[in-house]
Amino acid sequence: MYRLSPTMLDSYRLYKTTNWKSYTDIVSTIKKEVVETEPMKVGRAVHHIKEGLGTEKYGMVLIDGYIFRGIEKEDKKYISELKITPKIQTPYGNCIISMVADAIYGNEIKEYKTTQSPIDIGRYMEYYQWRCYLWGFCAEKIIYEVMEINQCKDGIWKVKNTEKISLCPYIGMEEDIRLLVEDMIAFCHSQGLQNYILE
Amino acid sequence: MLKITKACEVTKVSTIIVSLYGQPGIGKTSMSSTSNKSLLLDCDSGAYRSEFTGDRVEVKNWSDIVGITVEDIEGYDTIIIDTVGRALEFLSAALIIQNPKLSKKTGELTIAGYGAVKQSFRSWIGGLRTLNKDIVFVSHEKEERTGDDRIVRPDIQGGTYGEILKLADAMGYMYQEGQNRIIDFTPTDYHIGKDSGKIGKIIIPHFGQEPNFLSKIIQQIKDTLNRVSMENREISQIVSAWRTRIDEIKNSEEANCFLLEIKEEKNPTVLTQVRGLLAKKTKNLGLRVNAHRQYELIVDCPDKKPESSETFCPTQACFTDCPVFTKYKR
Repeated sequence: MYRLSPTMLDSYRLYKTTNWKSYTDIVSTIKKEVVETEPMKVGRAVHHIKEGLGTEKYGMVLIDGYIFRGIEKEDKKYISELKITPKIQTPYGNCIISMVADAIYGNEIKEYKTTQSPIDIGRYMEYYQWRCYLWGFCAEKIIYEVMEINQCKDGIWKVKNTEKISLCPYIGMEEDIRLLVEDMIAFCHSQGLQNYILE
Repeated sequence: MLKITKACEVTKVSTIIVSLYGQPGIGKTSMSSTSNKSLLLDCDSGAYRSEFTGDRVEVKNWSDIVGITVEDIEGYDTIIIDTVGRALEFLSAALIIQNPKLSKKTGELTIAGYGAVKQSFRSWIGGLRTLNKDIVFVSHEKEERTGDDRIVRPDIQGGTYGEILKLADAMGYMYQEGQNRIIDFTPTDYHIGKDSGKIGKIIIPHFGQEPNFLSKIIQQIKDTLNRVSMENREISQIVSAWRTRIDEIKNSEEANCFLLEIKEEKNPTVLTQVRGLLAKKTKNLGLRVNAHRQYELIVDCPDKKPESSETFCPTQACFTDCPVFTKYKR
């Protein structure tokens, strides 16, 4: 059985359709050799705040060695960090799509995203991550809470702008996911990388 | 008297925003006019080409739009902005008159100019939304190319494009396919879409036979949004009840009993979450699923191995000493 994640699928999509991901990048992603960058660490820290972690003082939160202002923890009604591993059938056999929702309440999922550049809403709409999550969790709505953050001169990270993008399932969504999964498995086979995506 | 919505009540969606875009001459204006009691803000001066247009305002500059009063639109249920791209040009011109620094020497907007347009448009739409009307954005299409790939999206300038993507509850692309005119709300690799009404791809009928075509689509979107909202509350309550019970699980026996119980749960959304919560809980308890699809304790203690298919760690001491368990517990 194969195992992929929505992040891997999106990396593959970007490799296929844009110049943002090189061949080396996609191979590193498949081999799980991606080194965590500074923006990724900051993003993870924001996730931790949303989960209610960190030390609060003077209206700021200290977490993972970063200090943030203006980010609040998520409402308790949400279930945080829920992991599921649904399977999708492909001609190559079943493939597990491993996914962790940042927060879920009823049939609604919330995903937190951070960026240090102006928010490009169209970019998030093209993701396969939300498609996978809506399918995997059988949810009816996903909200991307995108935070544009920047570090001030005093070293404190602040939220400059927040956008909430709401997306919903559509007819043929599962088929779209299946096609991308199939395509990525075929790519891995063609490049001799299939062992890296086996369970 | 203050109208208080009780916590147990679900807020009903009464108005929505729909965005339509597509090829020139495909019938965007006509289709938008098949919405309920519509008023068309004709920014493109192209409404005369449509035989199905209802009441309209000929927009010549931005003041024609901002000058619209609550009384003016009383009696209308739907406000159509046709086209958004042209309305933004009017807005840009108005902003440049107010502040010439917002444009370059070539007449194009500066980055600050685009920001100002986005902000002003956002404020105007915000005001319009308070009037409890459905809003229909009409746009031409624009093709973008990335290498060999192409994607069609609404032709809307600057950051306002993102604003429309965010605001729209539904976004449909209109195009010609053989003899048929099509509207597709599905997001694809070839065109942008948003389908909160689960409408998908449909053939556009002759509006003479279906004069309420868009009105029906808008109603379908509202019905779906309201159903989703209702279900959200129900599902969260059911999951919450399961969650309380999962929190009480202490060992593999209880987890296995629970496995039998959740088989009774029919709602796939609930089931997915309950399974996820159970997996999280059992991981914290140091349990794993064995070949018989039963939970058992992970025991890697060097001295004491479990006998046969024993699912419990033989001694209580093992719980605290076992490094594997400690790792999972953490």
